[in-house]
Amino acid sequence: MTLRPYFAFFKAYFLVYLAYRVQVVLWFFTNALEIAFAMLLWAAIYASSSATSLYGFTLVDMLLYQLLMTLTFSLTDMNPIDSLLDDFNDGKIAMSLIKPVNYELQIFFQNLGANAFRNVVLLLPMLAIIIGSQLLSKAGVIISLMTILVFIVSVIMGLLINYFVKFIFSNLIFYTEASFGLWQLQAIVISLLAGGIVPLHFFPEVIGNILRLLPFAYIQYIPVMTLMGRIGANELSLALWIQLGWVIILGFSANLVWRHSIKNMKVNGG
Amino acid sequence: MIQVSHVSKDFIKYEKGKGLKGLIQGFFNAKKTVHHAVSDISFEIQKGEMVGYIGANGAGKSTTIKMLTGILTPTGGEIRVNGIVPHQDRKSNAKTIGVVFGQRTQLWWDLPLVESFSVLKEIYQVSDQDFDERMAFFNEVLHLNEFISSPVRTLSLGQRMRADIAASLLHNPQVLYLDEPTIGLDVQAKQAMRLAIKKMNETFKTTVILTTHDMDDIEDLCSRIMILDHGKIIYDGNLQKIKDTYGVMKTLTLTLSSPFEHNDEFITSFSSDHDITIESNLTQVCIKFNKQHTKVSQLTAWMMHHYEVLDMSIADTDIEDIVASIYEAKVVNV
Repeated sequence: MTLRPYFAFFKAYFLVYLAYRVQVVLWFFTNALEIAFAMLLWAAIYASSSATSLYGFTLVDMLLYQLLMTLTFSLTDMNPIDSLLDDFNDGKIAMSLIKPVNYELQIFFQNLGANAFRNVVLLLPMLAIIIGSQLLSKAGVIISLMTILVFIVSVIMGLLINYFVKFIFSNLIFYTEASFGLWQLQAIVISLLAGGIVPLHFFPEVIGNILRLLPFAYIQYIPVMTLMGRIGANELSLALWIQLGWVIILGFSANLVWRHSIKNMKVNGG
Repeated sequence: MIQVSHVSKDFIKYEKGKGLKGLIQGFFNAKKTVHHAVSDISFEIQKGEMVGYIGANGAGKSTTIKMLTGILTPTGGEIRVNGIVPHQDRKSNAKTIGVVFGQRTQLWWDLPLVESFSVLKEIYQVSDQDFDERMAFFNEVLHLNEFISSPVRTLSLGQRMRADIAASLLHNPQVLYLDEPTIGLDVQAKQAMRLAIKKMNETFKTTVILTTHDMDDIEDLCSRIMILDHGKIIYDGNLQKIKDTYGVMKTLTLTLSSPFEHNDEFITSFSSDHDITIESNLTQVCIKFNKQHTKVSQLTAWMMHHYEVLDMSIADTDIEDIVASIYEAKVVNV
């Protein structure tokens, strides 16, 4: 099997985003505003509290956490739900299935193309903010080459987990035909369970421990914790193994679910 | 080339009630109904044949095409295209087929047209030389260069369809499935499409299966037709033969200077033949008759002898009427 056609999908989606320049600018500012709001909110929360540290997070830690979560969110962001919803709902999937390509890989590379484009736009400003604000040194975080390497590996696995979870979720559309509600549900559930709203440290210990075993924590939370040096050496290797385990389990499940879906598919319209 | 034997496709539909109450009821206790989109169809198509596949909306044409292309899995029966079972080996089947769904596009909506072709080139792994040759051919027949660098979303329907047919032919498929390829096109665009299809068929012996509501497409391209009704094939055979059998009726339309009156003399003159019907509305008369029994000359002579004829026209039954009458009768004796 050659990957050449899939690079063509990658490139095509990269170019699609390039075609919508205004949207990219707007999307960039939306992101910037979101970060600013979150930071202001945390600043207010810490100012109103007598403690300087909440659940082991000082204000500086929290600001760094928000920035790194946003950065990692962007790096691992994949939206197969949008692609699949679009394809299923109006029957456009027929146009992909008449081609000699693997549909799952096609969707993956299309999303990767979109992801790459977003990160080309976002990565440099994000890094500039993180380095410029000197939050890393203020929070006492020392980043070694090893940390960066582990972070990259962890982010790649996080991206795959994110993709597979959403891919499996999308297939529920076949059975429920309730696309909008489903979309909202997944967005909130994944964001909350993945530590996108508050760090997992903020949950009661039992719940926090359960969440640390679920795949959602391994999308952004574990990579960020790695970068912030909050996972010890022993725990880190365990975390990476669990992450790899989830990649494999979810990858197989996604494939299984897809095979079931395609057999029972109705192609809407025409 | 294509073998279809005893193929059926059922869809399970869940009935949903009206309003909120119905929705909630449906959520817990959905009523299942089975819809037979295609039931027990069999046919064989040889290499290089161009076959018209016609039927009313919802007859099961698109479902058949989707099964032949491997998108849908048949509920029963067996399909082989070039020895391959399409739904089991969708990808290898896809390498040798080209598909145009008239209501959809396989082009990238937001990208310049030329980008779609370079993606397709990669997908089908077309060599540079073949690519250049074929693009030159498409440009000659379909005039793609006029809009090759425009984003697909800005193309007119005619341009988009021309691009779509080129896209389906880029890898020189052995079988071409065209599902209503001329829907909504003007005469010029239709002719360009037909020309491209014909040339591909002549040059490469491409097998073509065409579904359409445009009978000109069929008459222009196909020598064989299959008529589908409610998921069953009710006719499979020669186009000319069905025209000879069902096309024996002619229609004579007259405008007279005075109102037409039914009289016995007319009936007795031509009553040897039951295949004659007269409809009249004052001075407008429409006579349908069987040309094998009644001579046009006799009929017109009689009318001209008894009335002052202001205007007159004679028309053959076109294939559309033939198909309509077959749909109604649902039995074909050829």
